[in-house]
Amino acid sequence: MTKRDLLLAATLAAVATMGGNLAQAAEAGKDKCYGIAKAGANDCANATGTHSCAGQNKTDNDANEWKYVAKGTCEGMGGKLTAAAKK
Amino acid sequence: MSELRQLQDRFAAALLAPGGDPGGLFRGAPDLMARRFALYRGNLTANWERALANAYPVIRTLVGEEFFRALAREYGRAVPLAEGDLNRFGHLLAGFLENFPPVSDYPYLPDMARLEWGLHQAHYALDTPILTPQTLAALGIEGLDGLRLALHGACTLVESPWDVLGIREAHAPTGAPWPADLARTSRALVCRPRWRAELVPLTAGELAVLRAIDQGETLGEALEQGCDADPDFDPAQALPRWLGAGAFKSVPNSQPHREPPHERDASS
Repeated sequence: MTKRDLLLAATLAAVATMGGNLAQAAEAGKDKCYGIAKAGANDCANATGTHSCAGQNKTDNDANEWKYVAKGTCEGMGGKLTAAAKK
Repeated sequence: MSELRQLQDRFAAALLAPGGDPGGLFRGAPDLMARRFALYRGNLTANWERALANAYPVIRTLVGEEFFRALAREYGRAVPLAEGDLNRFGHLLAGFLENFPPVSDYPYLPDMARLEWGLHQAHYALDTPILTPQTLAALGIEGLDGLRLALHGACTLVESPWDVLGIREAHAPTGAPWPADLARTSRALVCRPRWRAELVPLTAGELAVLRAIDQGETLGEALEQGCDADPDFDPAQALPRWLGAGAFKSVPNSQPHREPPHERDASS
């Protein structure tokens, strides 16, 4: 037997013993899908209807300059990176 | 018609240009018009930011809210919306970050973006049928050898020289510790078994197989490539895990695509 035949034989044996478990598990899972919806970014109006669009109360005069400073958690991890970053 | 088109172009250009002013497009007091135009632009950029934040929660935490807001604006300007669906808005962020000097100190960000986009698009991918073990088992060895599979629409392969999986876990609600060493290779399959976007970590061999399949190789060829990449690759471990994760599209019930084993022409 070639290497490929061995790999294929192992594959066949593995999938043959899986049987119907997968289909059953997948079907069962379809009942348990509450609370996993991701927020739709296309939503515009809020629930109370006080304003119709997400950014309605924000004005943006779009200053050209903004600070190129990342203040998030990158800073905490970034220190370890400086050597690796200079490729 | 063409005059309207010109007006729209002027409006859009002013909206996207820093400090842009539509310049007398509307009737009314100029300062009032400027304020209203700023409101309109505020809506636009706020929607950009919300759409990006929805897809990239970890990137947002990594760079901070303020930076992320500015990033969303720069990105929105550089990559104008090509379609109406804001859920697709961020699909080019990884490439954008690669060429965005302000984040050059954080070289893992583009791969982090790829990972998050994979999870995001898994969430919205169509619920098409997945490949079952029974289908494969019915094919026999020859049928498996020449079988060309395709990854399910919810699935993406992720590979990075950075520990993006660890970074993501560190930002999860469970609060895993920060990765001790960020320069650690990540390999994973993004998938969506039972409606939830998930990550299945992969070995080098497993990734080689899935990548070969994704590039249109036959299953026999792909398995062999996996074995070449990693002598410890074990299909008996990998296949059940992949099928359980819904990794592949179902194949039609008709006669599978077959080729004589081990005699492939170069046309593939």
